[in-house]
Amino acid sequence: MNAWLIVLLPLLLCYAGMTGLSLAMPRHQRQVWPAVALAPPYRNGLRALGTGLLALALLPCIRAWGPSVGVVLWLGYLSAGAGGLVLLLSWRPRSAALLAGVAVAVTVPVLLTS
Amino acid sequence: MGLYGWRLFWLVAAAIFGGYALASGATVFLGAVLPMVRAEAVLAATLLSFAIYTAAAIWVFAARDLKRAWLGLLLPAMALALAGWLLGGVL
Amino acid sequence: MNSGTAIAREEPAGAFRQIMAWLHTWGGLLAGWLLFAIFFTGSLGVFDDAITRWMKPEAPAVELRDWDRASLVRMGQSYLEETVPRSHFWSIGLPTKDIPVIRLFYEDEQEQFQSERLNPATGEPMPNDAERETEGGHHFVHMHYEFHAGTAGVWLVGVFTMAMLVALVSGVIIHKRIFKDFFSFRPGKGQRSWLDAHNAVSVLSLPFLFMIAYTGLATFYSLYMPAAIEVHYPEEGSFFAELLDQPRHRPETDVDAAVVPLDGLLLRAEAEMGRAASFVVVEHPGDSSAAARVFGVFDEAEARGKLLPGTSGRVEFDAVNGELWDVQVPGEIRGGAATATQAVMRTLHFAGFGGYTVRWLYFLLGMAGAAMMATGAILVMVKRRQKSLREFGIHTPRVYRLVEVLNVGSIAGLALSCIAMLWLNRLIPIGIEDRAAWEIRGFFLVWALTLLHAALRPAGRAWVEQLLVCAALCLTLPVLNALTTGSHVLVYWAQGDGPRLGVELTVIVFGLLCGLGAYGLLRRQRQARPLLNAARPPLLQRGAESEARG
Repeated sequence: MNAWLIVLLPLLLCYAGMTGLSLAMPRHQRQVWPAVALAPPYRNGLRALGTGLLALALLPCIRAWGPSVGVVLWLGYLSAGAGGLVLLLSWRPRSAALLAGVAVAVTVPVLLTS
Repeated sequence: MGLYGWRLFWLVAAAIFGGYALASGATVFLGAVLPMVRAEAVLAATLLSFAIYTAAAIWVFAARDLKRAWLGLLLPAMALALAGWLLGGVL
Repeated sequence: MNSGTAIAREEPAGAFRQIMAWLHTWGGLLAGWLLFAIFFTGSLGVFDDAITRWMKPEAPAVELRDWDRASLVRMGQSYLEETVPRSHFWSIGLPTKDIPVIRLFYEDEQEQFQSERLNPATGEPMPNDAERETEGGHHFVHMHYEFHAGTAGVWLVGVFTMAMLVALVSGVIIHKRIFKDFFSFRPGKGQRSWLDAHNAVSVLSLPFLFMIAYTGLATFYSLYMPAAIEVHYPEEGSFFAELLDQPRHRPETDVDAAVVPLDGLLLRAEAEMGRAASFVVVEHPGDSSAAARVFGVFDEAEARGKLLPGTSGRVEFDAVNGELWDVQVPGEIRGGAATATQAVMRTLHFAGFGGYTVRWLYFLLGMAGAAMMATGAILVMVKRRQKSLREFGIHTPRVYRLVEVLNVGSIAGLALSCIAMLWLNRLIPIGIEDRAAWEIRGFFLVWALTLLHAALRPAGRAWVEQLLVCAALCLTLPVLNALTTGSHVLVYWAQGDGPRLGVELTVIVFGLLCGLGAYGLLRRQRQARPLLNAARPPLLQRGAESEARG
């Protein structure tokens, strides 16, 4: 796999996963869609999706760096992804959500085909 | 009971020095009794000591009572160190 | 005896959390000033090699060639035998890609560490002006773990690291809504924003912060917590000998004895290890107890992806009769679970196990740690500027003022002196005596000056001014570089010189951030001034001032 892809894949997945978790919280969901109030099942769905994406990020980490270092890096990526989201969410909430969508659209096919 | 003046000073001193004493005593004891080769046990105990020290410092502030804090640290510290020293020779 | 428990029972339920809040505020603040420096320089130190490369812009004075290593060791040994025939310690470093000369480290008669560089072609010491003498990026690493103060500095850093563990635990206890506030940062809302920022960087980097603090302590475990080792292994060096199954340290006998030719030991050691050597070290040379160790070259590619990489090769001899004592082949792992745990902790702390990805993550998370210290320290004062809490009675205004001054000097001032270090590297003339030490003295001088400046100016002005100077120094660094060496960020780009390019780009980004910070502060101060001007002196003395009047 391309070197940049190896570095970016887990970051994007963690970012998207954290976005899913944040949108499951009414406070942040209103930041993105002020007029909408999501029903609990949708919120649970977002939470599950977010968790799933975070777990999925472990895969490229372990594939590229092996199990021990892979897990350590994954933990680092979790922090980095959440940090990026917090900055973006406070500044441009809609773009933050959009970026997460793009991230999923780009990374998941790459991950499945590689 | 407010936190200021000498009372505060001695409480902080208990956390720093009493906590260190307790961590040291616990390390000596664990170094003698952990079920590993002696050098390994000593290393494992030493690595653990920083967590013990942290917990002791937090406990001092939770207890907030000078006498309780000092006695609660120094007595176990001495007992553990002594037991560790004796057991170290025996085991 | 039980009065303490009785009072504890009578106190309101929030008492424990209150005392933890007090501990977190004041313990965190006192430790935070130096912890900021520890984290900031540690994050820079992750890229010490790249920074060193930037700080040595000239082509090396000698080229790396395929030298006959045995003859280089002979050169090193004859220089050391002439200079310090009896010593506690000699070390001969063989040329590497980055440092293509023979490096000697030794202890002189006064037990002071000395170093010298020999030209591998001639065996003569390199003249002062042969290259730009500099500590390079190691300066930041030394700041990070010892403040250039030797064992006392290591202790100081250890004490502050313990304080950090306590502050982290107390912080987790008082922060009731960790998961609820996980993603919250509300900018432009004064105290609320500072609290949000402090919580966000702390919580998001919490696993890293715990890990890095604990592994830092574990790295120096035998220094910080020697009790069990002293009690169970009173004989010097016997603990490590047993732990790693190595020959015992021999105490000095004070009987003179010559060291055998080290080139012979080098060749035997390289044959035993099956790889080239990097260092030859002799313990108390000149004494009949002398021991020699030969270390193998560290192979970064081999270590990558391993948390437990094993040794790079290590062979030990009796340095008086040349008897072979011990061989550790590359990759060999000795000891049991505890030894392995400590080794993994070291690997985790040193960030060398996963190439640039790990280094950048450590850099970012380390800077998040520094931001935690900074936002915490600032938050303490933002809270008290609104309304004095009078914790120190009539001294409160003076204590607050001291906190403000130390905040500015330890946060903006430290960042300023780090960038000043890179300026000094280009400005101090090449060839002067002790050049590398002058760079470091300059660093500390600038840091002291920022403290003085903070003490003389109102805090609000001091923040803005220091941030602006910092931004200016960062953004004009490429200009200075172009004027003094002819190279700069674009040249590095064209040459594909990644490390130097990375250093300069990072400095530029940092300059932009400082500039943004200064601009934001200035704008807020302008907005606030019309309201305050008539009644009150400059912004940041408000708390102190109202306290004095009240």
